[in-house]
Amino acid sequence: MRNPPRILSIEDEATVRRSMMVYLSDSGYEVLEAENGRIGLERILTDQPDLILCDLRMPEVDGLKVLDEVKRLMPDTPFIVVSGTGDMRDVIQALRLGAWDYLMKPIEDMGVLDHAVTRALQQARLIQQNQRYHEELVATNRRLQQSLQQLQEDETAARNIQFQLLPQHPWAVDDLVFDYFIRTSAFLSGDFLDYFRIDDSRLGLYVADVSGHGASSAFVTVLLKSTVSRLLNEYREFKIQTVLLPDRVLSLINDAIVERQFNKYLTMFYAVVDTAAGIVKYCNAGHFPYPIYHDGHAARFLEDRNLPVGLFDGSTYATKELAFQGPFTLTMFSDGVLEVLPSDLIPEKEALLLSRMNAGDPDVEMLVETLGLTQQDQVPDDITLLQLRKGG
Amino acid sequence: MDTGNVLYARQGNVVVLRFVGKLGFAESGSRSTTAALNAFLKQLFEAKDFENILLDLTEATSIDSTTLGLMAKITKFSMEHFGRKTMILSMNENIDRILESVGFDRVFVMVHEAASPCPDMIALPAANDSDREWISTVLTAHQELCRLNERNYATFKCLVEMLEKETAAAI
Repeated sequence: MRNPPRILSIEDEATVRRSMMVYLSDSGYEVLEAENGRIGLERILTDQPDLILCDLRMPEVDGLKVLDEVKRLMPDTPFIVVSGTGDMRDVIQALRLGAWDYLMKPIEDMGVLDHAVTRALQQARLIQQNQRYHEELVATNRRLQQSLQQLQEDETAARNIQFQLLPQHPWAVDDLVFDYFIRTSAFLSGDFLDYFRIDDSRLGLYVADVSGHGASSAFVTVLLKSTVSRLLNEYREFKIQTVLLPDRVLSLINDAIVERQFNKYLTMFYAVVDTAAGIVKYCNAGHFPYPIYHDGHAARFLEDRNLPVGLFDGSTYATKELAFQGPFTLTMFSDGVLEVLPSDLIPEKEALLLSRMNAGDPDVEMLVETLGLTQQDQVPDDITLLQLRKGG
Repeated sequence: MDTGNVLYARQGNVVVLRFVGKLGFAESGSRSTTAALNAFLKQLFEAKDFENILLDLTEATSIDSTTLGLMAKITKFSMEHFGRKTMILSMNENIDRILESVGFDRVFVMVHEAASPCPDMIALPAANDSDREWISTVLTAHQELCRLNERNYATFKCLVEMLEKETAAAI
């Protein structure tokens, strides 16, 4: 709306038109005139008035036709009918068509005209304002929607990468079988695992739980995977021993994450199985619950406490060894599994987990079943099971 | 059942009130309609955010004196604040006779037109008057009628005096 507002009077009686125009002009409005409906319509299109005062009975194009056009072209422009007392039925018809008000000719008190015009402009301004707010709201909403979609696309990409990085399963190699189960709670998992052949007699494995979810957690898993494969290459090409030494691997990843300032950290269990020597070398960087080792007779936790990876500059780790002769299973969990166990106390949950493993040395599929890991609709945290089973 | 009802709509500067059916004091259910109309007018006159009231009586079948008094209040307010007479649409001869009998043809613009100016209307919000408020609504409505002309004064004098006494006794 212009300031001052622009008012168009469409009126074939010159004296009526002039008296209204003089009054409104004196009141500070910009005034335009049209002596009949046809010229009125032209001026409406060219001059876009903020308010229209219109007679009903006019030659050529009458007031109702003008109103009809205005409602079609600019429905929110106030339209006030100025009519003789003999045209009352037309006034009603005009109201039916959407006129904002009606004034009776002759207008004895110009204050009535002023009042009606002021009120109508006030209302029109409110309508415009509401429309603007509405449009702004719609635009903001659209922007939000777009960035949300962008985020979702990013997360989908990260998720795809993360899942592509997971190894095939089950994986039978020599007399070993690797298998796992991952159930994600959010769109993106913070849990990650991998296993791989190092050389003829040795295989490596790790399970990790990155703090938080989202794309940045997925990037940390990419970093894990690429670091370990670099170490593998260095071993195969240059016989650099790092990949065989759990404590060295963990401290190397620790330094990489601290250095890059990801503001992420992870708990991680890393192990190397030497089938020829019958030894498992392992190191646990804060991963909980502890892995469970089942030697064919009974299950027990492999307790090993170290700082998580990526929190402190220069954290050092120590490798432990476990000798085996016959068959065994090594089962690793992420802490998400604790959330679904039916108890409020961590020690009880641990005992429950151990008793499940003692009950017939279950494989991954049976564990998922007995722990009810697929039953709940939603889980509060990622749940991961990784199991290495040695036969023979 | 032909109980009275009042609907309203707002269009630009104009408030349209449509009276439907029997708006009679004696009719069952119309006390609440009259009370709702009275409460609505009170609010409207306080807000004063309109320029014109149009009374659509095309669907009214009868009107009692309390409703007439409220109508008088409406046109009086309109003339005082906006310099306009309220327009009444009516097609019913009985209604016309009643309106003429209380001299409304001089204080309203009467239009004989059957078609409603507003197709979409909504019911007035319900109001629950206490007995005392109800008496005062009836009293002021009739005082308003009495002020219009001598004949009304003669017709409603007794009722007004009686209600005034009752109101005074209640206080």
